[in-house]
Amino acid sequence: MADGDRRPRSVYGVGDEPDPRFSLANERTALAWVRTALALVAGGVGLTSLARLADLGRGVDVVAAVVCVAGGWAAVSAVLGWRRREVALRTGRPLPAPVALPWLAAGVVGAAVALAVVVVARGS
Amino acid sequence: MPGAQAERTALAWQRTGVASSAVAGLAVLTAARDRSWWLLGVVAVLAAVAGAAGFLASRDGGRVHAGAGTAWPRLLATVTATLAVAAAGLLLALYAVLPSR
Repeated sequence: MADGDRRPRSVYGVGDEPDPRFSLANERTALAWVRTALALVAGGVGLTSLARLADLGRGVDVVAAVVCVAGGWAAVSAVLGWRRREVALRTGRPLPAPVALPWLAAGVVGAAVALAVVVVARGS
Repeated sequence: MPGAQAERTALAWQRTGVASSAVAGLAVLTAARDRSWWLLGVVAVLAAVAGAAGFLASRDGGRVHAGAGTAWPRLLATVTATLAVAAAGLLLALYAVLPSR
């Protein structure tokens, strides 16, 4: 593929071609984020399915909805992160910090706490 | 390109494609239990979009090679697949919350 044909131009039109191993590593990092997003969505679908089977109440479904939205956000984050890192590789700048990582951790903890509260409230 | 980088990357694409198809299938199974035809129809369409996008993204994974710049369209397809499945999951959860069921 000719250099001028590669898209997006905002990424491939700047800087110089980096070591291909770094580009491929960047690609795999983005895919790892996408699989994390899919895991979140699978968790949300699983939660709502479990809520139906065990009649756990709407609280669990609300948590499931939030987790599915978080999965969608993580997928978008994966692409945005890939762009930032690829531009940094091409321009020889330091790699950007993983912005989404602390939010992901906080979100998982938040979902776990919310589920615990729902379960305890239902039990009592 | 020497080394196994291209092969590892191709496998990563295939894993991601399989994962998106599996989650799409799970969403359809969950919708099927609700006995709501419109819900099943919408979730099935979203799952089909996810499956097709995931397949497009992960095919030809063995042809990953240096400097090809093929990541962007496949990343977009993969994210589309994930967003479609996320929308299906959100719809399933919101359907359960609706008081009119």
